[in-house]
Amino acid sequence: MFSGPDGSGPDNGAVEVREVNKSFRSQAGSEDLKVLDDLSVSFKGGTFTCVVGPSGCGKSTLLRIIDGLIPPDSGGVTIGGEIVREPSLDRGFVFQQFNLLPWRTVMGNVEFGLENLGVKKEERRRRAEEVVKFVALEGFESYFPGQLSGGMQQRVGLARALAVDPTILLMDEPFGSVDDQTRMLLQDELLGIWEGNQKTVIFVTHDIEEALYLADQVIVMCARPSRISRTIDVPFKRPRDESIRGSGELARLKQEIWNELKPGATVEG
Amino acid sequence: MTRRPDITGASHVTDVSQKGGLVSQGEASKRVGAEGTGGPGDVEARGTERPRWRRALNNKWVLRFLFYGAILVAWQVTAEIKGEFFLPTIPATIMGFGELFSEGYASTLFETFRQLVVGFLLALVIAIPIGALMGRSRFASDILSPYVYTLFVTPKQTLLPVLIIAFGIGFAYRAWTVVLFAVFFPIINTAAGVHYVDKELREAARAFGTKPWRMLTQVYIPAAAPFIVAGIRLGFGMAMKGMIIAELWILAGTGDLLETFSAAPMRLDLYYPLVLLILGVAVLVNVVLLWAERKLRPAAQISEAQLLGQV
Repeated sequence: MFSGPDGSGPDNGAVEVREVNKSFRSQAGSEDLKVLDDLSVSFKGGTFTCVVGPSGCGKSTLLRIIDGLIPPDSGGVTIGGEIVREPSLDRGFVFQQFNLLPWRTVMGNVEFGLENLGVKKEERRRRAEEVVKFVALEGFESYFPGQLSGGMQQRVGLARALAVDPTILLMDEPFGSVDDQTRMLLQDELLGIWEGNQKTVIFVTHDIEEALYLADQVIVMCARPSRISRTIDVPFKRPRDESIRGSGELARLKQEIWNELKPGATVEG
Repeated sequence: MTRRPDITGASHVTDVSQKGGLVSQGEASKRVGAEGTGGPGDVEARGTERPRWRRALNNKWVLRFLFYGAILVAWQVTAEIKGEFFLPTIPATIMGFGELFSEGYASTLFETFRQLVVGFLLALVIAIPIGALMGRSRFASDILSPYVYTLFVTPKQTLLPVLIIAFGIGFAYRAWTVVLFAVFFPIINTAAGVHYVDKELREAARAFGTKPWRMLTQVYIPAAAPFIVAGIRLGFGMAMKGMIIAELWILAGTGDLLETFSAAPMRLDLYYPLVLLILGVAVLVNVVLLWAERKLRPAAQISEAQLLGQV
């Protein structure tokens, strides 16, 4: 099942964001808060792209617009040439706060998307078992999310997204709420999974080092109202390994991106 | 990815150590209690030095037996002293149970509980969809909530004449009275439970292409289940009230029996068994619903209990 974007050509998973504008009504009722300003960006099918930017710059909003969870005020998103209107199981979403259904077991959560697709019970079970194995959760199938550590809950979140075998994986600061060590382990696991089946991944993070370690391409967003301020091709070869984390090249790129972000980064976030 | 099992193992170890942490805390406090003077934990450490009867007092069943035994003795003694006019003796009360069921009262009791069951189920069938609708739709809530909240605080007895006019004084009137009493708690609790379903959970479900019907059955209802069951439990208390008040109002059925047994010529030896019977049903249903409520608590809380239970 993890065959990646097969069949209808490699650009099946290409994402085009065209001149998207998005404002939110501010609570005080004064002026609307403009988050995305005529933002255009494209993601090539089968590539791993990280989006970094200062807190509150609209990274998560952009990701939600790509998924169809929230509509843009103007402009639009096309995936493989089709216009996005609502969420679809062609895209898997991984949330920062996991957002698992607490009354469902690990298996129940992983099967959730498959149930929505109307997949038959045995088939569902088979695919869920496969994915659970994939994210190293074997033996925890009947646990409830509340019984698992944050890192393990996020594996469930990842398994839930992978179970429907989406063309595109949208990840919203997925490792933002786990501890440093778990985060590094999860990054390696994600790379392992991705290198095995190259889906289009759009990964939002505020952690520049994480972005450089994982991505083919890092997109830098400026402070709101946001546009894309820079695109950086990451030079590290795949498969990536730990030695990159300490390399001078990574430090240099990190500094470069930070210089780009710094003017927009404010303490209030 | 050969490292994965290791990671999992590590996380598991963390869990176990947390488990251990909980237990050792508990044990530690026990130990502290044991070393202190006169605490209930004393027994564990020095039990052997204490007389048997002191140790027995630490068993909750022994304590309950003694406590309720004392009440029964007090009852019997009071009954003997004051005479049957005020309080029937325990044997007379037990005989009363037999009489209640043998003297043709059984069908009256059965009829009363039938209207309770029908009325209560009807109340739930009405309340849960209305509550869910109010919790989900601003429109429905704007229209319905003034009525619901007004009726909720109104003494329901004031509306009984309306029901009598509508339904007469037969079974329908009594069942609808039960509905009138029982319906509001489940409506209000369901509405609140459904309304406050975590926004992020809803978003996650939407991201995974959940259609409206499955959204209701797989997200809203399970998320609100603890609230809904709590509403059902509170509603049942009201249903019991409605069941008796409907009959007291028109002096029929079990309500009439309660009135007759407690008015001259008094039959307190039948009155008390009847009260105990109604009490028993109320307690029984309440226990079942409390159990269900506990089962349906958010999984985070269940898991803590399970972890403790596993140790």
